[in-house]
Order: sequence, then structure tokens, then C-alpha cells
Amino acid sequence: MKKHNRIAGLFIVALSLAIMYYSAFTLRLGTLRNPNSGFVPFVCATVMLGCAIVYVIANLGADENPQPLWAQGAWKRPLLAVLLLLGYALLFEPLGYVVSTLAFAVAWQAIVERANWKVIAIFGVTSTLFMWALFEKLLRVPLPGGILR
Amino acid sequence: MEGLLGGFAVALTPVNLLWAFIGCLLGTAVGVLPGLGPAATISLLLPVVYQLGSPATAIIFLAGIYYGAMYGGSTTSILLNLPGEAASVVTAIDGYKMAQKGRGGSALAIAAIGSFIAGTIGVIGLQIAAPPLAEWALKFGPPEYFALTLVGLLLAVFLSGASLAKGLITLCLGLILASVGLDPVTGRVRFTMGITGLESGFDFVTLAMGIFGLGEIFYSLEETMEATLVTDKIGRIWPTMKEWAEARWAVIRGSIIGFFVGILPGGGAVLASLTSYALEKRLSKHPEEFGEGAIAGVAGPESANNAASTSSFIPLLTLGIPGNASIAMIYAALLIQGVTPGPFLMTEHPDVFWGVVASMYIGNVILVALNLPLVGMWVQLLRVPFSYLAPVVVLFTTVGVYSVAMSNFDLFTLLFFGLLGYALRKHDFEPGPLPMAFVLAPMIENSMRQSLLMSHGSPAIFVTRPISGTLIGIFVVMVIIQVIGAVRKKAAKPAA
Repeated sequence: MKKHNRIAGLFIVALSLAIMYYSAFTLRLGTLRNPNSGFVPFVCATVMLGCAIVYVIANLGADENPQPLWAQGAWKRPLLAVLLLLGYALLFEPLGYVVSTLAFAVAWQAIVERANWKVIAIFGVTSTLFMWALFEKLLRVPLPGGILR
Repeated sequence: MEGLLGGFAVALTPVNLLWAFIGCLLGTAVGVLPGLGPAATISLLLPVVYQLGSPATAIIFLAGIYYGAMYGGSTTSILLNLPGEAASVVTAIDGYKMAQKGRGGSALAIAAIGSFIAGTIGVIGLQIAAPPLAEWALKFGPPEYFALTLVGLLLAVFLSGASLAKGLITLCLGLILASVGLDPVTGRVRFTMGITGLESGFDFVTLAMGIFGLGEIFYSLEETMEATLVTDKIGRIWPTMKEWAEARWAVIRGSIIGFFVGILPGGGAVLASLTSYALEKRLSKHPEEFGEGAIAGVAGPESANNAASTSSFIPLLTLGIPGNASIAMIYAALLIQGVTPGPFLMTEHPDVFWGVVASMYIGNVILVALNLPLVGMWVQLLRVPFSYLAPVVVLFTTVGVYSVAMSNFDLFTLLFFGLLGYALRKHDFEPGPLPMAFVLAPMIENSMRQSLLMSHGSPAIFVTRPISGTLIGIFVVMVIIQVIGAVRKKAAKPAA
């Protein structure tokens, strides 16, 4: 894991430097008597930078027990879930709650869980109805109607 | 006493009783199910808080989830060696051994009785300690609040047991994320990258649901969860006189330790249960029995984690400082309801303060009734496949976040925080300090600015005033101890 930790640490170093630069030169630090908008983010980013450097140093050297970041194929299901969720977020308002949620629940069971068609159908319908009843009827949240409006 | 009676009048209304029951029920379920902790569940239910009529109802409901999870966590630890909640990890050591020997019923009973006694001791302590603490906090000015929040956050990082560097990174990230949007003092936009939707800043509900709800689900998807074989060796559900004699002092000691550890920011239930276990082992005449089914190894930690979950409300209700991630969620829920936790809570909203105190007494009774007779039902809950649970949580999170502001943009920020939560778990960063820092960031920034204005730009104000000076002193000592500890550990490593 040392190699991956080093990469993560270097990413945090870069992020901290970018925040420090933006805080100091765009937002401005101000003075101690009158701190400006960039003061607190700059201080936080400086502490973060110091900690990230310590983290990188702690992960220097050879890895006695090198391990991949993901066990074989373990990245697939989280990635599929992220992509499905991205699609759901994009289609939620245009298609409306019912169509987009049904599509999401069906796609999740079919693609992420690789369930059989019976589970896919039952889960798709019941989860869509359950969430609709909970939010629209019980909590009185107006959900988007979309193409069914 | 008058306040407490008023609290019972609030807590005993049918609506509040119902929400206390639902909270305890959900909390027990969350404690039983591994993976979804109380912080994640409370974050998932924050949109529901918007729909609850009164702040007292909201906090009674969420508090029920929090201390309910401590009860539920013991069930699966004892019967399946599968801690549903981090604070119950240590219970599994002796609890599971007891179950294997056919004494699961006794272990469950002593965990429930110990939890009830500790919970009650915790509430009595809260009732006694909170009023003078709130009165003392009225003397606080901006420098004291700055020092207190800073020390509280750092203590939370130090005591979490995670790497100091990693904890501080998560803490700073929370503070930076909170600064996104309009600066309330200068009116300038910060870190919005030209995105209009970010000008009002990130919403706490979206952040919490993303990091704790989605992040946890993404991480869990890496593994294919197998159905766990449920043991049914519960045995008689009542401890023998001999077992009770062995456990009673562990319950009392656990309650006291838990109460004091719970007050510390970051202390919480996990540290309380670990401390209690270590103490019981040290005090025992038969330490060799620990790890082989010692009842004191169940009674002490279970009592400690329940007392701690109750006393962790003290800094929230009196100082307005949340000591852990779950309490930070409750802090946010109160803000959503228009109530600012802190020293004025007791005088401005006595119904909220005393209502939650009274509801804890009632909640403890509900939890004993829910946990002991229904133990079989809770174990069956583990049969719900993760393949159904995960998409339901994702749907609940997504629709819940949308329901807060009816904004599609929030769904994308939710996904962003879900990925952040996943990345944090992937690299073994404890995400707890992030929401705590996020929720306390406005207080830190404002009190720092006000203090520097008061002192005409002199940072000496933080060390020359007695209370803030003492707090900063405590902080410096803590840092020195941590650094010395880290250096010693490093020096000892090559020799080992």
C-alpha cells in the first residue's frame, strides 16, 4: 500500500499548494488585525500540507508487503454504482422520479448485482413505490413528475 | 427537578413517545447490522428532520438512534462475533466465547441490564453536570470559544486512535470545505470555480449523506457479502447469581468510566469500551479468563459505551461543541430546526434540553424491552441481503438530498462527497473529524476574527485570558505528549 499512500499524499500536497496559492493571491490574507477571506483557508491548507508531507515521508521506502489498491476486479462494482448514480442524477429531473428511479433500481440489480429477472422486476417496482410513498405521501415532498406529468 | 418534570411532560406526549420508539427501533437495527453505523443513519435521516414539527421531537428521535445503536451492537457481537457497531468490537471477545459455551443468553442479558444501568447513570450525570457547565460557559467570549472548538476538534483527532497526520488532514479538509461559498464577513465568494450553485456553500446534509451513506456503500461494494450462519445457542436469558456477582462491579465501573470518557471530544463510546475492558482485565482475580468468556468482559464495555453515548451530549447541549461525528449530525439537525446548541439552550429552549434528558430515561426502558425479548428477531435482520440494502440506501440518500432544496445540483455534490468518502476509506482515513470540522468551521472562523478585532490584531489574546489560556495550554501539552509518543514508537520499532 506504500506506493498508493505516497500517491495519495502527493495529491494532497498538490491540493494544499493550490489552496494556499488561491487563498494568498486571489482571496488575500489581510492582516492579523483584519483577516481577509483567504486567511483561514490558507492556515488550514498550510497545516494540511505539513501533514501530507509527513504522510509521504512515512510511506517512503520499499513495501514489505505490496498489495494492489483493489483486489482482482474489486473496482468494478463501485465504478458501476458511481456511473449508475451519475446517470440517475442526470435523468432525475428530465425523466421524473418514477421513470428514473425504476430505471435506476432495475439497472442496479441487473448490472451491479447480476440478479435474475424476477428479483430485478420485483425490486425495481417495490423500491420505487416504497420511496414514492415515503417521500411524496408521508413526508409530503413534491418529487419531479418529468415525462409522466 | 422542575426542569426534569417539564422534560417528562414533553417526552411523554404521544408524538414524542412514538418518535423515541422509532428512534430506538432504528438505532437497534443499525447497531445489529454491520456496516451502517449511527453517524451514517442519522445523516440519512437528516432530510426527515425537516419534516418533524418541533426541535424537541427531532433531537429525541435522533438521540434514540444514537444510544439505541449501542444496545443493538452487542447482540451480533455476542451471537455472531460480528460487531454491528465499532463500540461493540471489544464485547465480541468474551461475548462470543460465552455464546459458544451456551451462555449467550446470560451475555445478552448482562449487556442489556448493564446498558440500562449505565444509561440511567449517564442521564443522572448529564442532569447534574449540564446546568453548572452551561452557566460557566456563559462567561465565554470569542477567544474562549475559539480555543474550546480548536481543542475539542484536536482532541477528537488525538483520541480517535487513528494516525495524527491523517486525522489532521481530514480535519483541515472539513474546515476548507466549509469555507466554500460566500464569506459572511467580506461578502466575497471562495472556491466556487465560477459555479453559481456553490455560492451558498455546501449543504451539511449532502456532505454527511455522501461521506457516510454513499461512501460506505461504494466501499462495501468491493466485497461480495456472503450470508452469515446464525447461531441459535442463546441459552437461558437471565444471568445466574454467580454471574451477576461477577458482573455488578464491572457495570458500575464501566458506567463511571464511560460517563467521563464520553464527555471528552473524540472520547466517545469506542474509547470508553476499550478502557473499561482493559481495566476489568487488570482488576480481575482471574485475568486468564478474559478472552475465554469472562462475563465482566461483556458487562464493563457494554456499560461503558452506553454511559459514554449519553454523556457525549453534555458538550453539545452546554457548550455547543459536538464531540463525535454522530453528535455533529445531531448538532446539524438542531440548526436545521432553528435551534443553536450551547449555553443558552437550557434557558431559551428548555423543552429541547429537558425533553431529551427525560426521553433518555424513557428510551432506556424502551431499549431493554426491545432488546431482550426480541433478540431472535434482531438476529434474523442479518438475513436481509446486502444486494437489497445497498440500492435502498443509495435511493434513500439521493431522494433525501433532493428533497432538502429540490435541487438537481445537490445530486452531483452528493456524488462528489460519496467519492470523497470512498477515497478516505480506501486510504484508511477516519472520516469522523471531517463533518465535525465542517459544522464547527463558522464558529472557529468568526470567533477567531472577533478575537483578533478585540485585541487589535494581537494573537496573545488567546493565551492571556485565563480560560482560553488554560485550554491552549492543554492543547500544547497534548501535542507534546503525542509527538513524544510517536518518537518513542518510532525509536522502539527497529529494536523490536
